[in-house]
Amino acid sequence: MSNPGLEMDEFHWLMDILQTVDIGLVVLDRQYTIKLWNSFMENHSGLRPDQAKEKNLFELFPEVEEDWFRKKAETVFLLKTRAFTISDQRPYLFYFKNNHPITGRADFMYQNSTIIPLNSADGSTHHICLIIYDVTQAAINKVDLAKTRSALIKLSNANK
Amino acid sequence: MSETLPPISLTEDERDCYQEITNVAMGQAADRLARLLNVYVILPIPNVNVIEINEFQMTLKAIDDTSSVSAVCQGFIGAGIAGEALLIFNDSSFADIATLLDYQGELDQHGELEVLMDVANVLNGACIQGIGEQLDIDFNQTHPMVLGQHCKISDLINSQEAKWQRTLAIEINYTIEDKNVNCDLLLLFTEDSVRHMNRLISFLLDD
Repeated sequence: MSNPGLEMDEFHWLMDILQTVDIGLVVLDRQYTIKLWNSFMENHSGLRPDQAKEKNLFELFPEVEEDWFRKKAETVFLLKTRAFTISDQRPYLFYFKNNHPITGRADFMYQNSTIIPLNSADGSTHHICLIIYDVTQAAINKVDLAKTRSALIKLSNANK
Repeated sequence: MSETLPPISLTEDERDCYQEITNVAMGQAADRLARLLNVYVILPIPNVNVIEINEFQMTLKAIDDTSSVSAVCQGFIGAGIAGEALLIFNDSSFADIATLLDYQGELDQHGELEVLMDVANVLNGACIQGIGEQLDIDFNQTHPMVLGQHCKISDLINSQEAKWQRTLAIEINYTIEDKNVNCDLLLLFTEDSVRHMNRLISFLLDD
């Protein structure tokens, strides 16, 4: 037997979790109008949901390159498969400040992103969800590793 | 615990079943790629094998030992089944696939990465989702990782450091009609996943 009280609780938990996870969530419709904006996006962009919702993504964030993003997103609408972008392709979609403003060395937040189709009850896809992950630490480590590696190669060549 | 279990193997029926499941999934993937690019995608018969770690390098070399390749891998996991999808792209394919994808920018290392990721998104996603649908599993997919660009296929994976003994490998070779596009998708499943999947497909085999 389902307990309506518990279901309500669960719904509130989920909402709380949605607002607390350290992951950006944005729901977009076919015209790239923002339909959902979670607190991660709010806190990092400085825009409240009421300032972001019903606005066009590309107008609000000119740094999101329209042609590039459309190409990825259109395949999600068309094929209903997920699309992934990694920070090796472009370091960020949204220009957000680094999460470690004092100890960190990056000027901005490196981001991976996933675009997933959101299916309506009839199976058609009119909305997509853009998920933003902060991968600054991993990206910086990768840069450091490459620097160290080339320094070592230089050293070993000098010793030959 | 896993050491006490006998090494995995496939019966003829099980192999056929995996081949059929893959056929359906890659058919869907090819259909999606065809719709996206407006081309005819040629489908081969997928190769299903259980391979030992020391055979893995040979399997890779058999795919392509002469030219330079670029590769991305993507993990997937769900319902006790885990593995990786490895997309290996012959470097000479980039010019044609970039034209097909209508990629405008310069085809340097960065441009090639864009193209590689776009193809990987479609092929990996459709294949993993397709197999998942047939087994009634909603797989989680990790972000793709670049294994290497412009390298020899044998340099992609260091089998000395690998943590596994044997794997179920499903190899799919995609080519596009009249175009110089050649890429290989390897679906690699861990040993414990295969035990689990053998149980799942035994229900399919019963009917």
